[in-house]
Amino acid sequence: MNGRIPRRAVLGLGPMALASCTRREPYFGTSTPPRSQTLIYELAGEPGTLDPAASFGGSEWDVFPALYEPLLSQHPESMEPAAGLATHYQMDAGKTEITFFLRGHRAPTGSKLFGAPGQSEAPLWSDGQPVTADDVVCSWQRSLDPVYGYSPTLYPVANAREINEGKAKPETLGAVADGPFTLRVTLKAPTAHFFKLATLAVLAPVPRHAVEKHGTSWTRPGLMPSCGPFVLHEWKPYERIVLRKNPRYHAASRVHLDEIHLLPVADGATGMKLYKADDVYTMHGRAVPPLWIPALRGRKDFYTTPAYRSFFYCFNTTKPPFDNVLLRYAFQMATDTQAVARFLDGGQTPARTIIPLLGGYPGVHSLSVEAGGRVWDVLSHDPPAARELLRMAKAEGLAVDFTFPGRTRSKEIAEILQAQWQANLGVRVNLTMVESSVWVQIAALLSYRGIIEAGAGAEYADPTGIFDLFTTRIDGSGWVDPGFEQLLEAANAEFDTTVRMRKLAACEERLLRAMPALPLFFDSHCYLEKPFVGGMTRNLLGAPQFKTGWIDTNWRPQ
Amino acid sequence: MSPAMAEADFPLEERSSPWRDAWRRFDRNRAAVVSACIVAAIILASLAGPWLVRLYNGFEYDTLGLDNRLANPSLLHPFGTDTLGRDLLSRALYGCRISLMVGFVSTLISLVIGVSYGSVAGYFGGRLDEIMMRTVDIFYALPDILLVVILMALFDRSLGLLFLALGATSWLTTARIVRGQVLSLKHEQFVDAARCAGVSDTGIILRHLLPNTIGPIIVYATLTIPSIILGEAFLSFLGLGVPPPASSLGVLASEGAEAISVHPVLLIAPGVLMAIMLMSMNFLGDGVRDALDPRGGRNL
Repeated sequence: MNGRIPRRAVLGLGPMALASCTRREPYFGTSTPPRSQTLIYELAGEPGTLDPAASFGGSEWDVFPALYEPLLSQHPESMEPAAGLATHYQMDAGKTEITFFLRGHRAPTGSKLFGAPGQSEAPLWSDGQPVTADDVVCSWQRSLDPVYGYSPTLYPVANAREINEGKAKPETLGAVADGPFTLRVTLKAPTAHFFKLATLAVLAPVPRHAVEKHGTSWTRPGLMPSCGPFVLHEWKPYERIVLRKNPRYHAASRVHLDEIHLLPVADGATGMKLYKADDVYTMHGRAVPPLWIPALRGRKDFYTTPAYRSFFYCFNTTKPPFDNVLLRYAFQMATDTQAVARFLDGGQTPARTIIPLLGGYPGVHSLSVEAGGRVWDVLSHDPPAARELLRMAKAEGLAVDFTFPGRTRSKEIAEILQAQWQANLGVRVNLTMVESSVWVQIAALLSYRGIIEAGAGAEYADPTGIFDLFTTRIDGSGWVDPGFEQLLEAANAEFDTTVRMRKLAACEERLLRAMPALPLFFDSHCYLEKPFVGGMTRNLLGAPQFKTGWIDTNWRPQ
Repeated sequence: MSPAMAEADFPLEERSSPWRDAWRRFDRNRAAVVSACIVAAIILASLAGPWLVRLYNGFEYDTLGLDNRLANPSLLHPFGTDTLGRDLLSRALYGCRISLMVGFVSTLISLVIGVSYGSVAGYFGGRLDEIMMRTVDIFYALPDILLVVILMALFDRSLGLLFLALGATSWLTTARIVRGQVLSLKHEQFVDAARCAGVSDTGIILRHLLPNTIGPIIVYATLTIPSIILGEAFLSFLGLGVPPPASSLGVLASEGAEAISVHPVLLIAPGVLMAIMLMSMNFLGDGVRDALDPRGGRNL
């Protein structure tokens, strides 16, 4: 061996280097459609359960719409309530009594829901049993059982909170079956967003006969009947969930997909490789790591759409130093949220407030607070004023603890803010990364000091969906304000949308005045979808629309 | 052949001492000498480098440049920039500094513990020796990296704790080596002489025994430093090493591994640096061992 590099290898390197510089392909990876109507979808990790009552909001939320038919369905784009299990409804003058007429009812009266037929066949479970109003009532009572923990979605229904807290019997719930296909719901108070809640899978009926027969194992493949467009066919934990079309679904003729494969992928880079190799066709809205975005920009199969999700940090308001509201203002004013959004670069909107400005919500644009004989606009980015407030709070030279979960993008955002606060306030910030499950725990128990990453998506596209985090005290800040809760209840009793939204904005103003949370940005859905996949409209909530999805098996690149 | 000629032919034989012999053997080992130069260069670069980079392009290891993220290597940023637009050269050199610091300080801690433990056990012998060395055996059975992981997870992460945790788990072999040396030396006549002259036990250990075990200790220490650096890299890779925004070679490798298919420079630059550093340290350690221990290994 003379130790030289063979000349042929050098010759080969030139064309390779050239090839890597050629113009960008329009699509990321290969795009070969399958021969059958089989969709492969990337889930955000392994689902904890497929039982809606036992779910705490993991990746199973993407699976529920395929397996359960809720009381009302949503228009895929506008998200307006449409006919689901119910086709007609009637509301009394006091707006607390609602009668739902379910599919199968002979003579439904009242207002017809969008897309409802005049008369319809009785719906069936996939094992042939009929779906009745009784199933709905029993499922609601079941999901409020204290053994499943906390279930705030149903709280607008009379007595629901008491049952969930173990203070009342399940039979006292304000929902009764009046015949097999009539459901009478009594609300605690008029609730303008109740129809939005009724579209959630948590409020869909579960197969009572299967639950009674199989106990906790009723969600296993083969044992689980479903009333939605698909049936659970196979479930290999941490590998694959296979759903097949439900031939007994009431609108089965309009469902195109025959099979759905759900792959639980915990790590963003793995998902990207699966997509590139045609092993995944589309994915959930948080699947693309920020690192990959520059490489995807301009591709035809890369999408960013707005999401009803707010990303914010929480201060621990129960412990020093952040029990001082001036210090919380100082941190808010020292934060440049533009820089964070510029880093993420995936369609996120920098935010100074908590609630996304979507669906006619006017929002809060400035907030004047008087302190130390001066008026401050605490929603502005103003480092000198922030330093002034820090001085008033007597917290110069402070060291702050900052806890975040070991998830994509959390560490980078934390490092950006660490640098900003160090530069703008002169405080030292100690970053601590914890495991995701530990993070959830210490946020709930308030056992952290300083600041913690919080922020979440709403289950339904309404400001109340995010406010509920604060009223139910699971946000992680320890902030409690009965006045805020009353204000929110009053706003939700208002049925005129414009007036209601204005009242909700007043709620947010009260929240921001106390500032238990530090807003950062309104999130986006950032995902890849193969060009041969159609009908999977992403709305603000981002749940995949398996019901309307299809695959163009003849698709070829131009 | 006259006696005068013989003296001229072998001038070194006259002035030979164990340390001079060792130096001669080391000097003839080309790999070790080159490695020593590389290690010295890396130490110098890690001390002066971040400062020089700041003079050159104004970037410190934690200066964000959000408008210039994931830049390719250029004249301004010779290694390019990372996901937050920080200069990778500065971060890599700073990372070297932290890694070397962890390596040296933790090795020093392990030496202090190991040498004192081993010499006490070896010198006093008997039941005390029995108890102390069985304790060491028990510690050997514990998985040390797991112990460090638990320590780092239990307490607040800080550089000081990292030094302590890594040092406190790597003193066992040192203790055994020193004990063995002390055992074989303590019956030598110079020890008896010292004892007769009324020197205390502490004095005998410090003045008479330890200086004679210095060779094996140096050899072992030079080989411990790279293994501790690797241990730190492993911890940082798991997210348990130095707290952000500080960098170490392990932190950089872990950040680079995430970006491997998008921006491979992020992994290649610190990876190559770490490989060169560890390899030369191991060659250097081998060279020192061959030089100080003429009987074992290659006899030059």
